[in-house]
Amino acid sequence: MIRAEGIEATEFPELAQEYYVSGVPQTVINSGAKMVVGAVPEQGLLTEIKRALEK
Amino acid sequence: MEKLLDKQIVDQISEAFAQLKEPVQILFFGSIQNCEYCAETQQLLEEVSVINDKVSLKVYDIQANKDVADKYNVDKFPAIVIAAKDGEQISNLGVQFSGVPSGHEFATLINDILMVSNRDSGLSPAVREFLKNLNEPLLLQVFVTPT
Repeated sequence: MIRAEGIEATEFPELAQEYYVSGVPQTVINSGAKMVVGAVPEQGLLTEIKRALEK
Repeated sequence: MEKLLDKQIVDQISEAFAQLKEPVQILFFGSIQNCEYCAETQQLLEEVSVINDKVSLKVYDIQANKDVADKYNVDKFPAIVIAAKDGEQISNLGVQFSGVPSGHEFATLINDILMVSNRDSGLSPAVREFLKNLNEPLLLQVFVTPT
């Protein structure tokens, strides 16, 4: 049900471009439903996940 | 071939791996063609997996073993899946990495192995509760660079 994938941005530039990755780390939730640039603490990520799932 | 990990690093990993609890199955997916970092990634995983008996490695070709790649939702190469191993049973916990885990990401790889071995995400009770009740797929993709 839950998948977490670390992606080396320079090796997959097309995918990085698709999500407008300019700074790292960048977290993309459910293929762009929500995106967070920079490190996210656990609680912050939970909030973003909830927002992404509401969409 | 020259080793990617020097003795000092191997010793450090060996020390960290002393805390391993349950067996871990690493699955590597590579491609013979058009893959700049596949050989390096495979070699890195081979060097890591020989450090401790609780860590084993399976090597797959993304084209020849498409069925396995599909089963583990692998669509890029090189790709690494860090799964739980209980006897012959391999459980996909949804932990994977696409690309060569170098620099900071090498530490992430080692930590992922430790986390999977402990069978514990380390998340807070509130987050666990929320995720347990999740009834739709959740994909978290974290883009990183090798610095």
